[in-house]
Amino acid sequence: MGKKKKGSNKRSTNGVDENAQSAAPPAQEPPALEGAKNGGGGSEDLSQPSVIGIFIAAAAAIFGLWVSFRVTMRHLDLKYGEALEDALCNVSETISCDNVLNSDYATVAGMPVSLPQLANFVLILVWVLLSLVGSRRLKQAASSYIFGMGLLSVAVSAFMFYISKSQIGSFCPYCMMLYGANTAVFIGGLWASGWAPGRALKRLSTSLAFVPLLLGSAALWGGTLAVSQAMYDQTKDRYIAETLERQAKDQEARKAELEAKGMKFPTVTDTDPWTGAENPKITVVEFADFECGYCKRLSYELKRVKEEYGDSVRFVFKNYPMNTVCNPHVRNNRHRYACGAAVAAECAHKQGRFWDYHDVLFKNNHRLRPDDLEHYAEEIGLDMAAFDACQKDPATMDLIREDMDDAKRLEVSGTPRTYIEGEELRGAQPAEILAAKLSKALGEATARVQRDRDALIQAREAAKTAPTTVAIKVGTQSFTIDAFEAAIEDGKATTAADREPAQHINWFRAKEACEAAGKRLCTQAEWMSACMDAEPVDDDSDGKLDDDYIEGREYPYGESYISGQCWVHGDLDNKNHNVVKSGYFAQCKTPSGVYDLTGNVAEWVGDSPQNAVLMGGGYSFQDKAKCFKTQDTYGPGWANRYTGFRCCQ
Amino acid sequence: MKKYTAASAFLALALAAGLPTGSPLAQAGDAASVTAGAKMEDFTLPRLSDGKDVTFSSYKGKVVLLSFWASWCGPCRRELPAYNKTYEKYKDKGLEIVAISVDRDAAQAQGFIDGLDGGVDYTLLLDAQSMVMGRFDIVSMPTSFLIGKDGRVIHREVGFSDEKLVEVEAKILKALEAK
Repeated sequence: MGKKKKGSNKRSTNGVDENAQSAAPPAQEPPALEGAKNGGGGSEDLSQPSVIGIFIAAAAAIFGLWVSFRVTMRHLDLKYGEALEDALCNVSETISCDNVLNSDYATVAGMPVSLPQLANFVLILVWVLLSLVGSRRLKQAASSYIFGMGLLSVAVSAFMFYISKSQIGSFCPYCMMLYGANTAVFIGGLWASGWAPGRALKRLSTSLAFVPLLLGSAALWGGTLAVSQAMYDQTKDRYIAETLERQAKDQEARKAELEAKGMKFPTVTDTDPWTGAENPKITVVEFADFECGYCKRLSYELKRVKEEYGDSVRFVFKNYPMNTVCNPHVRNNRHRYACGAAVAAECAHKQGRFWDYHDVLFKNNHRLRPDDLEHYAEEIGLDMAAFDACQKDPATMDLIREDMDDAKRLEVSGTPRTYIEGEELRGAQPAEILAAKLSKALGEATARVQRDRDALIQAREAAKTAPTTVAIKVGTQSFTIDAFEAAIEDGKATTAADREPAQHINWFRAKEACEAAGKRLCTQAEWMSACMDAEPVDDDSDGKLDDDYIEGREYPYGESYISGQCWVHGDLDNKNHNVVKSGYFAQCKTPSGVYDLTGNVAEWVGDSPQNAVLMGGGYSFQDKAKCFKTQDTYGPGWANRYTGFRCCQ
Repeated sequence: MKKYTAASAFLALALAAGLPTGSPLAQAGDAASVTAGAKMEDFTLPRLSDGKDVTFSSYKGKVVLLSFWASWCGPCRRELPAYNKTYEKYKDKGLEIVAISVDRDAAQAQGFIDGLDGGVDYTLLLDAQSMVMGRFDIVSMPTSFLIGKDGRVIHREVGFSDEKLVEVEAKILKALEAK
């Protein structure tokens, strides 16, 4: 005991070494390390590690293990669970582990970075044990591994600190604790080596040649990592299942609440940026703020989902900057640059580069000052003159205001908020949750499409045998109207399903064809009565029936517009479209059985050239093809691909 | 311009009274889409200013820019004066511009012309019943057709912009140079 060994330095004779000796097992003749034997100088390092240093490392590892576990659980909770507030975790915008854990740097290859850290601490604890109870050689090697791991961990901690500062803009208290634990391990390792870094390094290099320990340590580290990853995945699956169940319950209540208030889900307009399916089965709408950390997280999660579902789902972005400068519906200015970022993103959208700019903004969402926004715009190659002009244009803010008002209507109070087929989701939902929702919605959408398709096929078949004329008696109106838009055969108007209606027809030709068939053109009042199931009234006595109160239905099939019900595509100049056969859009019919009154071809009515007008709108119209839609700007000679007729008698 | 108002008013009254301005059925025909290469059919329409009939075949052998416009059409307010400059540039080389108003009310069409700075020097016709317009499968205003010396349509232009005019003028020049 206390006997000075060959090769030990001065420090090893001080009290530290004394303590180490006191805690170490009785001295035996140490088997010389291979490296020491062969190393330069031929001197052997046979000193025992300091017990104090080893205990410091042990304490640090136990603490680090606990922190790693907490960070991992917080990461799970944030991504897949309820993410309840954690006071220790989120102190401010700068001191927030949620911001850090929501960043790109929180995971490596899908694994939270806290898991390798956790495996490190398990390994350190094993090394601690070996340093205390192993053979002399094992003690030396294990303590030098502790030092080596401490050194490596401090380097990694320094790098992560730099990343937090420069890339994330936030510091995570738990991560700081881990940095502290790593530093303590390093100090412990250094202490154990007798405060001699040079000797510690030399001992480490020698110890690395201790193959059984090296391989055993590697196996233990890998095994710990694999087991913790498996446990993480298991817990993740449990969290996802629980979250889906909880959300399903919440959704029912929320849906009922919104419906009770008469609220509909987000209004998607042509000006909204979108990506994904051209002809979507379902649409996902996201309200986000570029400066919001959770929105950033969601953007990454959505990106993963878009890759899988982009063929059948459309993803729409709407701005909801959380700053009173531009958003009257919020109460704080926590996100100082959010308004400017929203405007800039709209301007990138104007140049067709929204999603590129969106990605850059979220990537750098801790740096969104005006000059940063300019820099990012330049970086993705925007036309800077147009970009600057657009930012100054008040119309840009009007677009954002539309989004914010829509959000207000839906009682959105924070971001991000995501809507999937009428379901409202809060926070940065993980890709797994989003994918589960989309799969379910798509399944339902596919089933619905199939049901609709079956119903349409049945309706088309029914149209083929439906009566070709329909008797109408509404108010003072009593007449018979053709059930289908007219075709012309041998100069005579005919009415039948499954036949293309005549196009390029002017009023004169329509009148002649009806008369040749022993019929006449409908009057405007008759036509509107058939469509609305109510007699139109000229309330203001100006001789027009299209500018008064609406007496009946707006559309032949009901009160409100239903996309796809009638043949309307809303593109005036689209030459790829043409009329469809009568009755093909079989659900475009009145309850009394009159088909295609709106859309397909607009129909001439009127008993003289002076009151000749076109009714219902042609297939170039969209929701404006209504029962009272009247075109009277041109004279009765007007004819084009959109003009046709039907007869009355 | 004021001296033409009486004639325009007469024409409007005639239309309002349902007086025929020709044989509608004979003029209607099957209005297939008129695109490049189509042979122009002849037509007769009254001049907006005085109601006197103008027959399109009177421009035989000339390059004609035929434009349909309306008083309620926003882009037409820029197109008509711009065409006047085009006309000034190329009239000596043989270009004729015929701009047909499809307003149902002649007075409105004339009022629109009267409100234009600098007036219009080329031919203005009125197609109050859209009978001629109905032959061209026109879906929006303004729509113009460039017709070559052989009486065939060279180009169809929907809408108006300065960029489009540059292209049209290049085509005019080419048509004027063609034999």
